[in-house]
Amino acid sequence: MKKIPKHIITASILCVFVVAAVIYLAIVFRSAKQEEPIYAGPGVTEVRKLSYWFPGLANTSGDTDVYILDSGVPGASMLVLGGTHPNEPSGFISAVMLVEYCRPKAGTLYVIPRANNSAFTCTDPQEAAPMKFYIDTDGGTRAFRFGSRATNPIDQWPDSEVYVHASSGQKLSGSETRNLNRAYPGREDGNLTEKIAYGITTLIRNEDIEITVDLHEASPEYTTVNAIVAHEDALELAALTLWEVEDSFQISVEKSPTNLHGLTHRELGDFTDTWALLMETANPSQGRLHGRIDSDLVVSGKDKFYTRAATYGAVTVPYTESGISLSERCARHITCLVQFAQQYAFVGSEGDLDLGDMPTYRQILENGIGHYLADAQ
Amino acid sequence: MLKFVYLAIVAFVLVLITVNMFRKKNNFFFQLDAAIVMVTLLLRLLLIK
Ligand SMILES: [Zn+2]
Repeated sequence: MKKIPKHIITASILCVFVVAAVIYLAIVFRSAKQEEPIYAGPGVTEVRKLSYWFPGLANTSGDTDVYILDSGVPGASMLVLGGTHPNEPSGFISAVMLVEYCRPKAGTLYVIPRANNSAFTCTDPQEAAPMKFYIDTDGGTRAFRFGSRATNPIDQWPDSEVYVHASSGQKLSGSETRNLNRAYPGREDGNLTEKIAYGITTLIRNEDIEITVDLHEASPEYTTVNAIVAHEDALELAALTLWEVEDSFQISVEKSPTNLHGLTHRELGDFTDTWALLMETANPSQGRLHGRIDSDLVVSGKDKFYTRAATYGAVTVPYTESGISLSERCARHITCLVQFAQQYAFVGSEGDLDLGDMPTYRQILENGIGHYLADAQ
Repeated sequence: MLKFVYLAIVAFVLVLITVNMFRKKNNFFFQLDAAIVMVTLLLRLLLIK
């Protein structure tokens, strides 16, 4: 009998390993599609899919839950977008907190915790980011996905070399093709990311949303951080809010640049009647200077390299060894949201918006954001 | 449409690498390299990652 050559045997064995690795990794990566539960709280009156407003999103990974918290008292409406960038967890968790805790007393609150649902199903390449992070609630620990800045390439691929923003013709790097916050106002017949943007724009138009707030985070060395970016129509509202919150924490207001396209604070203000605002907190797990990235870094915001970088003046926000916790970052977002609603009464014309009994900045810091989330079930 | 063109390219490269892996004599590390590359290409071809 002819002997099988050695290299054929090694190649065959390797093929078995390849198949085993692919099966194992398929299970791991598929698990990222499993949505973490969000428990509709006492204020939620209805949950709809974004495809209700734009049916083109039905049965795609861009379709996402829209939570409606109708107080029953006529008044103004606000839309809160969390998870535009799922690698910026304070936006997502603040939105989840609204869904699970908030009980508006006047007007209507719309919350989309996973604005880019597809981007929750993967992480950014080369970042070694964890797939999940863990928050302690009063009744156990809950896991949340740490996602990617951009739509999963499985859902939208390949990227073009240059991304041309449809309505302005602005040219950006090809990787921005999958960035939801460069796709507004979106396109009905565009790529998935543009379709998601179109869905959100349509919701705002059809429901006559008065205020839209897009929640973000940025690295501590970035310049636009601890900031409210406001479309010119929303600038007065942002300024009033600044006055109210600056006793609790330092924050700045920036006017949305007119020549930077595709972003919520520019296009939603230009293409709809909503007052468009965007907020940024400082997220040490997002920058370029952090050490090992894991759930602990995401939640505690403590990183020894950022502490060191701060002593060299390389960080644009106050940063000490106590870090910038997720609770603190959510507290900023939530405090400003409450104020946007309150201050609207002074500058808006569509009636009141009252988010009800919400914790103060100090209370969220003291009790932790987990205290205001539903228990693990 | 473009997605399927790219997937066809991935499939073509995957076939070449597999054929090469079986042809390479006396170089286990080349074969190991090929196997690692095959994993990533298969994950994309099957639209898993
Ligand atoms: Zn962002």
